[in-house]
Amino acid sequence: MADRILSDFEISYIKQGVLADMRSDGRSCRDYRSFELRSGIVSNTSGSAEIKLERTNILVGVKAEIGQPNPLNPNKGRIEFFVDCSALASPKFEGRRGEDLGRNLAHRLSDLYENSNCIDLESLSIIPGQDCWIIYVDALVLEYSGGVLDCLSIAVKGALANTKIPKLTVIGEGEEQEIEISDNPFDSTSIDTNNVPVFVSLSLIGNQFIVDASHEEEACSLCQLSVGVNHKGSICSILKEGAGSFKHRQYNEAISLASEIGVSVIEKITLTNNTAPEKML
Amino acid sequence: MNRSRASAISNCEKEFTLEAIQERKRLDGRSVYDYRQVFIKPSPVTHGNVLVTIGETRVQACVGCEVVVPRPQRPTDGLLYFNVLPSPMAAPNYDIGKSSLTMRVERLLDRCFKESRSLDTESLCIIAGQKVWSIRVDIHILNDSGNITDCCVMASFCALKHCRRPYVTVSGEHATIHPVSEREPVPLNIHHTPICITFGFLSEGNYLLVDPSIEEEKVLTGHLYIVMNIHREICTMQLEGVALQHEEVVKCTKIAMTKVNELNKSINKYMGIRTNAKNMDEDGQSILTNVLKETTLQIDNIQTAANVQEDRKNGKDIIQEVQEDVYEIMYPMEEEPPVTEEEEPPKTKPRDKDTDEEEEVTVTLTKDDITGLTSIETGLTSNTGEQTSVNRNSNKETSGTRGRKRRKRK
Amino acid sequence: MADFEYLSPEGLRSDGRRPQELRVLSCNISHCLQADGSAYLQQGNTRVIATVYGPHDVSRRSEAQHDKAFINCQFSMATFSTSERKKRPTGDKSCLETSLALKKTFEAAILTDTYPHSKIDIFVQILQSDGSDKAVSINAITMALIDAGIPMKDYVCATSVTLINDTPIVDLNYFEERGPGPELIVGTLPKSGKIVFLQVNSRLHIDNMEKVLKEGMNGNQRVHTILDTLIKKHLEKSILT
Repeated sequence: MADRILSDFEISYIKQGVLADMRSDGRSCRDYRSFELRSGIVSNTSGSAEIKLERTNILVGVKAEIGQPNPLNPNKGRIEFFVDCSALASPKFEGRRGEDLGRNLAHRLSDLYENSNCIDLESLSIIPGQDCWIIYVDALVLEYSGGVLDCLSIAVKGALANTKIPKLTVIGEGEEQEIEISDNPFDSTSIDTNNVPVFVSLSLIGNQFIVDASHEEEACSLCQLSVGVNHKGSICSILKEGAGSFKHRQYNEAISLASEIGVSVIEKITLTNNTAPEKML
Repeated sequence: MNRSRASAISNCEKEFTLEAIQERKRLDGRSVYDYRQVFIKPSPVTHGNVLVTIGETRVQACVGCEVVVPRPQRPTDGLLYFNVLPSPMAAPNYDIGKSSLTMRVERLLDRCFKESRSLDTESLCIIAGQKVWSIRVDIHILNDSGNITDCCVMASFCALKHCRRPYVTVSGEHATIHPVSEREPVPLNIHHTPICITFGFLSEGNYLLVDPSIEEEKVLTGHLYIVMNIHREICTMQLEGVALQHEEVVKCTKIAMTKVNELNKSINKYMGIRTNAKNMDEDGQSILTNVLKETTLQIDNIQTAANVQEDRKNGKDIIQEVQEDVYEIMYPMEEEPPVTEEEEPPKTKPRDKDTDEEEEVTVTLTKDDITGLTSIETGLTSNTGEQTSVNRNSNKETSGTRGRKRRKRK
Repeated sequence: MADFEYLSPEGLRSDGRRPQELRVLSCNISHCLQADGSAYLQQGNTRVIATVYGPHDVSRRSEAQHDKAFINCQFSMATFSTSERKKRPTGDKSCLETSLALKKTFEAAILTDTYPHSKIDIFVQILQSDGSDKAVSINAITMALIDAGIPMKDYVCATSVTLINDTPIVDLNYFEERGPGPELIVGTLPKSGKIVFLQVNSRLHIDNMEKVLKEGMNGNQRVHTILDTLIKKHLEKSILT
């Protein structure tokens, strides 16, 4: 993650704040910041969403294209993730330097979606073994200020919910099958994203786990726990990063906290999707 | 990887160049709008291989053709790639591999040829959707002495013009590519000639020069690359690093037009392109030129044969004469000026040819370099400080004198 | 597209504009609070974000220049910005070429001698591409530089122009850009009328050049008026709050 350099005094201030359950912006250890999620912004795409959480800004565009399925799963469609840490977010991401972080984030997302079986890939198959829908999810990190993985998962969920896949009919039989795509732009299906989980990141500062750490808090945390939670509160994936360690009891508390927060975040997102899509500016 | 920097220019060199240009003088004596000497050498052996020199800048371009599967988005278009390869011997700061210079030149070439439809990529299609020609132009920068861009564009164009691809016959879904032994290869379909003219600007656009040399390039603040063809069309234009008034830009295009016409003449001259197609064989060489070449050769051969005949009869005498003369030069009896030796030979031989030969022989012996008449390779060089060598030109003399026994001296 | 009518007999373009009419321009200055200067610019359906970081220390010794600042520019397009998905956002030849061209343009426009031994980073990202990407990028970078407080000689305003049926058409959309006529992108310093960015693609006859160039420069004057008004409004708002 891009580093933020803090002085010793700042670190000790943050640590003491966490101990007293009063963080630098007045939140408690369990409070999530408010975020803004807009969908349907980019018109060139099948679906899009933008999330703004304080100074973190991520734009996700989804494109659906027809291609060949994975030979190991000929009856299923594919989802491919790509995260571009653009140089806009920080000069450190200029050229190819942001590629490592981007690849890392994309990998985490694709693991999450694979392990949780949240999207029905079989419905994306057109002609088994020959053609299927490939959903390209492209995320662009415009501003980077902590909590990137969380925001990424929320924006991707929002974009997928917004995605419209054109309806098509398969004509002919056997080897001569042809695909006809409907010309009507309103004649489309959407992807069912009810089961799609989101990441909730918890950072360990001192002996306490805090939710939704800011950039400064992330810089002085010993380790981070990224938990994938779905709408039922079930845990889909857990990943620990960093050099710190914690006891079993702290871990249990953290997981149940993540589960609660994950459910409430997903409820908020579902509300956003049900309202009319807003355009930027 | 140790990459040495381009040699920096000192302040006084910079000021000197600047002041010289303010007085409309350039370091190599050219005028502001003059190009350096342009020389183009198409390879006599391989088609599509051309060496272009502008002053000291040398660039070699080679064209290769291959049959490939076309891109799915464009099933009827052939492919055209430009690959600029800077050689580390070209300049101290060049390194093997891509740099911003190579990328800029490649993009300019893409715009000149592909986007302005100079080479029609649709003519490279063999079977739509399955087979197309992929033309790859490799440009090697051998020496960078300023104005690489113009040189590369000219080299690419000449190489594409010089290139011949195998003849293809298509019947339905089946295509046959004929080897060179069966059918003559055909040239590529080129619609117009893009030629690049580089303008260099100094001190905020107040002064301009055409075809900057390497010393001038170090003081330039901005460039304007104009690629035009002889039909007065701008194929592409690029301005960077300087702010110009629009009248100045228009003026530059007019200057570029005249320069393009001049360079086009050079290209036509060296590539042997004549406007009258009837006089051309498929190599674009004038048939007349070929005939002339052949005739000259024949004449030479006749001469040689005749000489041999003559020499057999008079050979001994000639040799003797020659030997005497040579001996005298090597070991002068008196301190006579070499000129006197000329008078000796006319004593003998009434025959015209012989006398001619003798005279010629002596002449070659006494004077330094002569009109290509040969002389004897007896290794006589040093003594008099004059000559004897050898402009070995035709086979005239040597055949007459070689391999003969030497007579004893008197 | 053979049936596509670029200019109707009444003189209207495919999107209903007149030949010299620009698309609707809206701008959000200081869009990204992390950066020293940023701007989000939208011209029609082309959306661009530009951010400026600097002046700050050079990252490599070779970049340090004793008499002026080092300008670094990166142009990239989001993979979902074009109708066909782009495999790589940046690093391909045309993006690198555009980055270099923009760098040279702004080297001529920024007063680089005020910041020797330092570096100014300019990053541009195309979010949605609908023609005139380079021109809109230049406009966005100008706004971002003004937001960052970096001294410049003047605004740099750019438009794209083409020639269809002998009529110069300004501010091209996606289809007009790929149309039969030549494309000219011109960037100027409006007050002095000097050209800092000029790129011509496809064949433009020398006799038409002056006409097309003049139209482009008129278009730039109009862009300048709009950008100037936007900056002043933004300034008023930030002073009041």
